[in-house]
Amino acid sequence: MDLFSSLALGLQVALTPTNLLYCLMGVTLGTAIGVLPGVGPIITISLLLPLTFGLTPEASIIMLAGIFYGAAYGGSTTSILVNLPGEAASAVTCIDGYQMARQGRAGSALAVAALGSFFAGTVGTLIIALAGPPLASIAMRFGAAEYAALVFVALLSTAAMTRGGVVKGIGVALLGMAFGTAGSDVSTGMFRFTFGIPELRDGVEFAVLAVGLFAVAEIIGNIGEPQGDAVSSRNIGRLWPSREDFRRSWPAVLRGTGLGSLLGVLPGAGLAMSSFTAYMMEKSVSKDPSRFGQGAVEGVAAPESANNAASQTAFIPTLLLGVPGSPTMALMLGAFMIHGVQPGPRMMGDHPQLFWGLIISMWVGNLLLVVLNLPLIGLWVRLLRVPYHWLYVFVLAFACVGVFTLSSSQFDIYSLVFFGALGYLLKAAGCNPALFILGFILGPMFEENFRRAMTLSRGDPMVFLERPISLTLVLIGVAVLLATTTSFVRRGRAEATD
Amino acid sequence: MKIHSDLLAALIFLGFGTVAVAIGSGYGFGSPAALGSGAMPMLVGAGLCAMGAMPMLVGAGLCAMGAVQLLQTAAARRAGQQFVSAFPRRELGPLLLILAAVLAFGLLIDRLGLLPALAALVGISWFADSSGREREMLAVMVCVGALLVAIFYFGLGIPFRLVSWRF
Repeated sequence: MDLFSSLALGLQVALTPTNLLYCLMGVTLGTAIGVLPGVGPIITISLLLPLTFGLTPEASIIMLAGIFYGAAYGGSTTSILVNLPGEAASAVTCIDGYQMARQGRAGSALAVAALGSFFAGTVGTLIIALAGPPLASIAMRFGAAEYAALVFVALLSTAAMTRGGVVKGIGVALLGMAFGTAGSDVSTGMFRFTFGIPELRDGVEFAVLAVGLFAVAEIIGNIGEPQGDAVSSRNIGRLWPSREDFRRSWPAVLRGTGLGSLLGVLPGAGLAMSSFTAYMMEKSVSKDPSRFGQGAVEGVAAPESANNAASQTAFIPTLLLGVPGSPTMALMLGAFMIHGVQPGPRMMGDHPQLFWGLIISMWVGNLLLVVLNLPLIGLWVRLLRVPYHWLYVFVLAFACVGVFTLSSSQFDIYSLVFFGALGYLLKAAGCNPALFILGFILGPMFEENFRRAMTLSRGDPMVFLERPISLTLVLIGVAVLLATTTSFVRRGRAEATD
Repeated sequence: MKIHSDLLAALIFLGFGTVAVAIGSGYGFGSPAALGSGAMPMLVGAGLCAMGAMPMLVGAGLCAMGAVQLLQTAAARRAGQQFVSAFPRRELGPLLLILAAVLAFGLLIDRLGLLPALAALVGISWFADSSGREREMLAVMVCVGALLVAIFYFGLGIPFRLVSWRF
């Protein structure tokens, strides 16, 4: 199938009324949670996982993807207007965006952010569509050894890049892998770590784990936090950027898009890092770096386009290799697997409707976001006034009922208590629970491919070093581990998490 | 001794790591018969193919990370670093109340039905945050009940028992 007929197929799928509706729901919900502090895309996607059982795979994946990239838009709105980043990726937009708002140029900043994001989203979508077929044909040649090495690199580099240090990062990823081994063993069919509980024979239920670790544990942590003051809506100013703003921002948008597209593909880099790097790069290429922090429009344009481009290209490793590069993508992969779709090089051939439908819907969703968001800014700002003690009760109730609908089993609710407690402990220990999810998803993939590779090589571990692709991947993993000990990366990571 | 976050991480890793190694070793490295027709030599690698290997490997890795974390903590303590407790007192109440609310939901959902279970959930979790007034709680209870019944019972058509009596 050539590109045009593929895209036409995608259009057909994405523009059916049902899928369009779910896309709209996804991006609206995504924007809302991007605005609300304390509720992020990870929580929302995990909360909605149980609900998607009843939908078609296309509709549910389109909606969950909409939440993911919609949140990137919503986060920037509150960063600019009230200096409150709804999520980490838009924290850097606060610096110049809020200054622009104080100077009465909020409308201009919002429009630049929205248009830059739309441009970046379009480019990102195009990259997936273009890179898809050739990349898939390369990935088809991957054997078990290559896959094992790839999973190893993805896990290691994400663990190494996370806040809290390499030791905790690797430790918590290993912990997730340990939980991933529960259930029946892939090759022998025997039960591991089931402790005689019949519900554990299929392994730990992914949706329960995600809801417990994120929704329940997050609520416990957030209640203790002191809350920010209520927000007064300020004068937004005119919504169309001036000629001067346009002239300054378009090169920044281009650079941000390029950088974001690149970083989005890499495992472990993530949205927050792409927007921070874009901001720092913009500052260093600027003729007058002192303008940054005083309301420079480039300081809004570059990070906003970078994080949106990255949020699109992050789908590349997930969809084409079946190996998620970030915790949110691990959740998306979990959603695919709930519907019996195994993302990977064969997905494009086996499920062309889902693959191309998703890609086109991401573009449609980006368009919807621009059209929807700018006129609705007032509404989003008003959302900030919802008190947290209303919100968390609702989230908790939604979590419990959603989990119970999975299999009408009380055991799932008790597991929810367990994973809520575990998530709280991990947070208290300074470990990122998101890495736990990544280990949980990637662990079984690693074990399966590792054992298969070892069987094929008759027990010779050198197989990972003899095959060129797998050797390269192993070397990259080692290099990443070494690099994290150098001061440069450490500093970047520290700035990205502050 | 105060449990601070680094020590807690070490304890979690060591605890789960030990369990994984202990139970994983019970699954064994596999017998020659289980490995198949003897085509595979009993090398080090052959052991790695068996089902106990991965839990043991992961468990050993966890123990190693826990040990490194302990050493780092000890070094920081010698250097005179001050640690804060990983469990601030103000979070302890919310922790127990939220978990109790979920547990109550699980206990009641099959016995009394969806609405009483939700009422218990809201009624317990409400007190996790002190900023809400008690009068508000009833309003939230009604809102949450109405919204969730609308979404799950009517919207998705999931056959919940709204109210029942089964002990």
